[in-house]
Amino acid sequence: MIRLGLRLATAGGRGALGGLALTATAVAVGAAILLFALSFAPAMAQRDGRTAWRDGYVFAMDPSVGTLMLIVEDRVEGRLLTRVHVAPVGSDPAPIPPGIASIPEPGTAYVSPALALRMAALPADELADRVGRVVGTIEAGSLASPDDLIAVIGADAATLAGQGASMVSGFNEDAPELDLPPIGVLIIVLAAVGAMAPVAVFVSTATRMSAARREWRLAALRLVGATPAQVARLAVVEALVATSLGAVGGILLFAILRPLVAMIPLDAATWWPETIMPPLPAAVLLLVAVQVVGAAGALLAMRRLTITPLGVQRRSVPPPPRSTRLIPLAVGLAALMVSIWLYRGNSLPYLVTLGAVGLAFAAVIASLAFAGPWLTAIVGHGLLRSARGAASLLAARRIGDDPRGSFGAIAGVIMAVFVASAFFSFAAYTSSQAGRDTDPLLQPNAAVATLGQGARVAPDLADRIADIDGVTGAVAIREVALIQGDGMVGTGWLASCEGVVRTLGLVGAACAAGGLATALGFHLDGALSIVPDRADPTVAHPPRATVLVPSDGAVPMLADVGERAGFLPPLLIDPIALEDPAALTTFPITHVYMTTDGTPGIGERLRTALAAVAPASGVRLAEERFAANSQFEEIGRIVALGLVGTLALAGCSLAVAVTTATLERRRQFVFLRSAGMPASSLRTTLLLQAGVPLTAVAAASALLGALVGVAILWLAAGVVALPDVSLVGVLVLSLAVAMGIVALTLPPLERLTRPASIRHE
Amino acid sequence: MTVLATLPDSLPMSLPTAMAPILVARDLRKRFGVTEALRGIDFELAPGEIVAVMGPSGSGKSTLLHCLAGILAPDGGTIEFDGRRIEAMSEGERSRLRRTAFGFVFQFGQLVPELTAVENVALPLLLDGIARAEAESRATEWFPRLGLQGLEVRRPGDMSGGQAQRVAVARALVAGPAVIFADEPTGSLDSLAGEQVMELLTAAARSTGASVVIVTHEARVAAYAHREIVVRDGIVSGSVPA
Repeated sequence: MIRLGLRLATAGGRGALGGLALTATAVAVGAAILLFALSFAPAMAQRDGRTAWRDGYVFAMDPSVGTLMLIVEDRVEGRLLTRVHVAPVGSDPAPIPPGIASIPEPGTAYVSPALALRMAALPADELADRVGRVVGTIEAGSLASPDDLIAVIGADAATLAGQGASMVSGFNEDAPELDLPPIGVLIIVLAAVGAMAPVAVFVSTATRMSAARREWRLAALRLVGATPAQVARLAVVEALVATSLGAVGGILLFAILRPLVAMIPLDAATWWPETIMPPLPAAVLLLVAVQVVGAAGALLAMRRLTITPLGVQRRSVPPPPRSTRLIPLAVGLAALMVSIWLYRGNSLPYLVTLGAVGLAFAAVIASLAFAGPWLTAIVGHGLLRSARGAASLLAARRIGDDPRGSFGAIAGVIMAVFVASAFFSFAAYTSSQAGRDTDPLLQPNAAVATLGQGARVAPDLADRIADIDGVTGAVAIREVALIQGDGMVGTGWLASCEGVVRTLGLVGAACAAGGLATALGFHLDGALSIVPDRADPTVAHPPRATVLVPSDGAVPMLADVGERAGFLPPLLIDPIALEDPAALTTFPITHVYMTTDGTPGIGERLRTALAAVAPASGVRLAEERFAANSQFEEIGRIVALGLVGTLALAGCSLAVAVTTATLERRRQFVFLRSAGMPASSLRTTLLLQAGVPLTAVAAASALLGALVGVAILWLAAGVVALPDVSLVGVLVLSLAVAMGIVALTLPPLERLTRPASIRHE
Repeated sequence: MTVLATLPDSLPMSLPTAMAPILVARDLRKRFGVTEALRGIDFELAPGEIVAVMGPSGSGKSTLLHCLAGILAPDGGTIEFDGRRIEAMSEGERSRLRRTAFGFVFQFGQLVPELTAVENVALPLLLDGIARAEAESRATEWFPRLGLQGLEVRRPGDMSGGQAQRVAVARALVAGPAVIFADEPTGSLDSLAGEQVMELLTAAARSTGASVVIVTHEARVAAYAHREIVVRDGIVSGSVPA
């Protein structure tokens, strides 16, 4: 029986082989996508493991022995540049960061290959001078990705000590556990479940590609006396030939595409190809599951044949789907809400409730697939009532006759739309949580340098910066705490008032003669003294200075500051307002605001110059925007990546289904076109057949998805985050892309159904 | 049979002579790879004439029908219908011609299984842009004439082979074609059902004045024609009045 099955699958001529190849190819694509999905978590873990040494290290018990280390998150050309400044301390051999041969001497550095390339490409005063002389390359095993920009820079221990560096006695090799917020974990679990549904639909659609041909063949066998069991076995063998080839093809496709997939950046970093590898047991399980899905699909398709040998030839209309199909959906939604409520309540073990949420979400998607044919049938009836021409009549009858098949073609897109709509609420939430951290005081072509805690820099730093080519102004800011009596009454900036007004571009703002100014209104009651806002713990006696307060306590207002008033400190203290103006230099500089002429590379030159005098400093350019909460931004990015892939796969699924359905009806279309049906009518029929149920059911699915997303967030996080109008845009775009994919299949179908083909029928 | 009573029985059974041919083919040639299916065939069809094209399997008779109907483009020769050269038309023009001026009856499988019988019959009218209500109304008129009363909303899968073929005949006639092309129209039917179909087809054609080209290898089917030609190895080997 197995041999006969193999023969039937492979020896049926070009058509049979073509069908087998198409099915195997589609299964291979689905299997490869699933293998990549399984590889995601291990790849992330590998990435985290390779960078564990800089994310977590062992603090030295003895502060006089070890490696003094300062990690600075710098930027170059908008990308993250990690500077690891190290200096050995004590007589014992100091621990060496992984990936390098020895601790570099001061002025030298080990760099990642990607950084070496950037250093070669940029002028030295923009990057290379920030790093020093390169003495070696950091090994790949210590880099997050091939484009990781990192330098381990040798430093003088005394310099580092003044920059807030830590003494370490060893480096972690294992990544610290990812500490995601519960809502973040929930979103990722739901995304994983949601992304799998269209993949399952795709594999299922692919295994049905040559089902019609197979049904006819096996029906013929039933007519000559094959038993239902024999026919079922033959069908399974035939299906397994395709899925087995598909599984092998999936592994090959995975191997071929891996270097390309590794180039897709996440968190602004690509991947080491070898880290993209699924866990072996999971991969084996997946490939076995693909066989099971294929075999089960074949057996299900055989149901008609096992009842009667004429089941295929005598076409009969199955009873239409009933509204009772909505019941599982309602139950699934209720189960999902309950499980999320339990997840939030912490009354049951975390993993149990998380698993329950995942299962309930999967159940909702499955029940959506179960309810889909009912809605599709309603759409078909609606189209039939309104059909005026041949194309709409043909499409409506086809949809109404086979709502299960019609929905099956669009199921992938419908599920993807449902998941995407739910995640639009999540996206709105993660985006609001991630926020956008920027300095609202920065004008175009401006920058602000934040010096590290305890950074000791020369008092004339602003003047030195102002001397750099391209810098048009700089003002040093010393953040201070305002002390009245025994308590702190606020914070202020100790800075040149005129410098602040000029550098921040506060047009129209004038500084008061007394040296005190405020943008929001400030009243002083009694004597005022100031201390550094962030006291350096290594300094035994922090500076303190007395401020000359107006007799009436009223501080003059800075005029015309506009909306930026809220971002300025409550009190601006010019050095002339100090009882002893010379005390200015005893306060540490915390920020330097700068303006530039916008010449290319000026931002990088500023960073390089500041790194030389204050290694821990970071410079933010007005043009750059960074996420304030990168964790949520990361979650949002992962989800977006998953959704894009899901929608693309769903589109492929639709194309495969439309092609299959049309090939099954090729004979009819050939006859119709021979009798004068224009190719345009065929096109319209196929587009209506896919497009009408797709649009209507997708709209319902999007609405349901958005409601589910809002409900989940409300239950899980107690927030109401409505998806914005861009959901409609994305929905329309998704449908347009899906229909575009269908349209791409039309020209070959038109060729296959051209009237001249009638001589083969 | 009762059906025939619904058709006019006073129509002439003989071909009107001295009328200019409606369809003329000269030196038709068609090749599929190394096989020469048609090797220079001349053919004429008068208005209202019924011609049977006979010949053994693989002789080229179906290819001749497909070329005459504009389904296949010949490699050589000319086909003129009502003063227009079919072989010079674009596929779009030929589609329009097939839809408006020709009707087709094939051996089997030509009905759309999802559509009801009346919708199948109305299809050519719908494709020609006629509103659905009117198209179905005109299609329904053919049901009693062809003995199909009560089958209007049946699906092809729920009809016998003979009934389905009569629906196909109705579909071929509904748009009022000048020529009906029938390729083995009784090939899948038993002899009784086959005769019913042929009687209805020819009677209906006479009632509308349509010409008919029937490809068949059955002498009893050819007997319904005014004239039969025999195609052998891609050439006409004989032409005789039936």
